[in-house]
Amino acid sequence: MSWLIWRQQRQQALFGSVTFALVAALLVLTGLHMHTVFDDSGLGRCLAAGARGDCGDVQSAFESRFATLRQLVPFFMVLPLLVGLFWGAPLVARDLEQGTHLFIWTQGVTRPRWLASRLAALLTFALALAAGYALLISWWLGPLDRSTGDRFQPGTFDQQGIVPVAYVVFAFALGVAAGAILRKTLPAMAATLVGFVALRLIVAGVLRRHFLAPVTKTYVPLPGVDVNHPGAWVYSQKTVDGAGHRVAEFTIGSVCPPTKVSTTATLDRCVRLHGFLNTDVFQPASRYWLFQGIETAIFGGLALVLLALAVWWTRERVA
Amino acid sequence: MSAVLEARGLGKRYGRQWALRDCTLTLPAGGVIGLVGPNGAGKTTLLQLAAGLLAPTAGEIAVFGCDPRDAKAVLPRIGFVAQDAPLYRGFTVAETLTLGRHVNRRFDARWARDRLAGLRIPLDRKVGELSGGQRAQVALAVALAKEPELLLLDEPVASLDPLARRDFLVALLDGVSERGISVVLSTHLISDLERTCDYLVLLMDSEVRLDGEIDRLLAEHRLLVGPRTRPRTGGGIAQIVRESHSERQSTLLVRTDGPLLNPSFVQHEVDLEELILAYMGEQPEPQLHALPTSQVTA
Repeated sequence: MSWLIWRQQRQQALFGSVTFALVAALLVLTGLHMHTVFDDSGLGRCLAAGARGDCGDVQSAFESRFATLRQLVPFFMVLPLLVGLFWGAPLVARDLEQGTHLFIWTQGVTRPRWLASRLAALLTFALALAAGYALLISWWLGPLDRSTGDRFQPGTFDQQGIVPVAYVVFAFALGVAAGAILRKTLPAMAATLVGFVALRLIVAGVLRRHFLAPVTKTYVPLPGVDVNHPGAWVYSQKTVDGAGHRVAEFTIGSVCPPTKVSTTATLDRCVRLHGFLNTDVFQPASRYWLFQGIETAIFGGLALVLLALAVWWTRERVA
Repeated sequence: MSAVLEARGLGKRYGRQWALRDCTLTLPAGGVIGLVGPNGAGKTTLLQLAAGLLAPTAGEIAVFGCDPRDAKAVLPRIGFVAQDAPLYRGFTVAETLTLGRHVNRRFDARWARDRLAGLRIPLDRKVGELSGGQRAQVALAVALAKEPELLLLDEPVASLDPLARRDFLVALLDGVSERGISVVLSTHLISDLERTCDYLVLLMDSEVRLDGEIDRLLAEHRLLVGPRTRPRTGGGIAQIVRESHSERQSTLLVRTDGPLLNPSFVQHEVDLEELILAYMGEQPEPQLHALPTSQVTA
């Protein structure tokens, strides 16, 4: 069986490896440069020392310097889809389409074994590439994440950590199942494309914010109190005055303006006197990996269901 | 004589359409069984059910006494060549044999190579570049190299020209007699049957119309010509398969079950083609002048 898998899948393996090598080379070269700048400019040390996350010009210079490069990363989000389209969808569909299933399924290897061993081979390979990519991209984004503190934000969250691996497995499984059920490669590719994009959008846009109830923090926005939540996913921040009316954040600064004579104590008193109150709703930064785990479980679990469906369907429904 | 394939009330339905229904058969081991019938009669369905590629909707089928869906027990013992002999077109002939060696516990690759070399089929040629006849030979070689006890061939010669068809059937019969295996082959070309088959199964409209050893079937059937009568069974006539009457004379194709008692009929032997066409309910000789021209040219 392994000879056959290699003979039939070597081209896909080659394409996959070349794509991975190109992406990896790009990430390693630019990443090394970025890490050097991050360390040499002192930004790394500054961020490590002050949790405040405000390192002035050095920080903004660093972020703007790599902003263009940063915009490359969203393009990599199609990589899992490619695995689903070009490895998953044709896996069963191509044989069905060309009638060769009648040949290969009447040799000595049973259908479930035929499919399972091909799935195992391709999945192992896809997992290895995906894990390599996930490690690289997380390392690459590290300095930028630490500077901007937004790795929990929708969009950024999806680009790193362990979720890329789950996306790859899911896209692959979706492709295989669509191919087995639809029995034609092109429709299966279309279904994979639509299904993958739809689920990604639904999870990222609707479901993810409900994985866990957010933390609500209510506090008096005294000057000097940190209203940022570095590394957190902030759902909303609002400020109300003593009457309970919502006001813009900068209202506090104009109602209790810092002047030459004002001290911390007088400003504090002013803020308390007007009854300003902040309410922040957010997922704390500490939940980042928990959320990565939940999202991975969702996509990984669905992938397992789809793979089981593909095997069952191939055995029972297809001929 | 033990049965190589048994079916009882076997049926397969696609949606609301029965591709095969109520099929009860016992096919003997050790011969060539011809499965005939017009296109769409259910031949492919029956063969794919036998190969375990399809699951029956109704009834049951057993190959060597096992359910063919039990692939582990049955697959190593059968060779199957589907219609148009599908193979991986991007593989060379040699790679196709290597594939056979890797996906079968028993596979005589050397025998297959020698056989294909003997047929002058280049081993380094891609399968997609072979002629239809050559591809069919490669598929047959792979099926035979498994050393199966039962060979299932779905229209193996349909796409071949007459010369290639004869070569294929000769090669098939060589391979079969060499190894003493059973063969079920489907065809819609009746002329192939007489040369190759010992046993006949006629499928019509998804049902078995006739089955039995060809010699016995021919011995049992007679064409009777005599004065115009209303024919009845009895007196040696078990079944009237087809009858036609002119003003003064009746022509009957009958199945006999003893000596014929009615002396006014002249008996003729029937050939296989006549017999099959009679059971298919068609005229033995197509009356072209009776058909509209569009159908003749179609």
